[in-house]
Amino acid sequence: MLTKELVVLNRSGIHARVSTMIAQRCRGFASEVRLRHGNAVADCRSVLDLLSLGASNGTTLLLEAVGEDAAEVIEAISALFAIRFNEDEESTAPPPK
Amino acid sequence: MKFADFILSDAVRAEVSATDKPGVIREMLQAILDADGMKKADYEGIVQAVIKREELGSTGIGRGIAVPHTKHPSVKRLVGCVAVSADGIDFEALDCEKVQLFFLLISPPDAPGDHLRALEHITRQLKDDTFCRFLKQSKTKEDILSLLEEADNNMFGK
Repeated sequence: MLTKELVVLNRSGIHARVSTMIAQRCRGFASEVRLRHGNAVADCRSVLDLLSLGASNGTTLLLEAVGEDAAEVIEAISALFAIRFNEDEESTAPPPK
Repeated sequence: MKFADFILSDAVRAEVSATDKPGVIREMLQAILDADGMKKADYEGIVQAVIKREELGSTGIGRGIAVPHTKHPSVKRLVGCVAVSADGIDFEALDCEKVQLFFLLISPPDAPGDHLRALEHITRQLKDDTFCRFLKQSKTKEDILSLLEEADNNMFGK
């Protein structure tokens, strides 16, 4: 299993449109992909799961992937976080490392 | 956050009469208006705002659930309503299934935290199959309110 810590940088957090974007980005990858927030875990292909994390701006999440293309899907999802899901907003969270 | 914090009990609808997407949005917003949850003059503007948000991507998030929403200065706090359609409505959901459960939210501008916490509460409860099934089977407003209250009292969900 590959993992990577990600910080929610967009101001509005992991809301419905962002969750949909994450779920759709997982299409085409074979690996299992999950996001963890404390004890809560979400299947990244499920918008319902992602919304249930309640991840707001500044939250640190752990991205996990298991499968043959785990590295690629981690890269793809990380890129969405890095560009703040194309939400053109100022953020109070620190910039990506 | 709990359902009681944002769901207007007078705006809960067990059997929606609408059969299409714009219709159910209008019917739910009318329910909020009738429950004094918004100003009458803002009704049409909020209808258009919710529909415009849907054009960015359906809030039909799968498993027969939709969470249509918008921000609007007509509300001073987060308000929401619940509606159930026994037959389901084509809401252009992500999984292409008809939607039976609707949670509509209107947030004041610049209150993303409350909106996110409401979505978190709604989806955490709906991950529980029993709660989700019972809600879809609700025939009366009282059935729905009772289920929401039980959920608020941690009788469902994780």
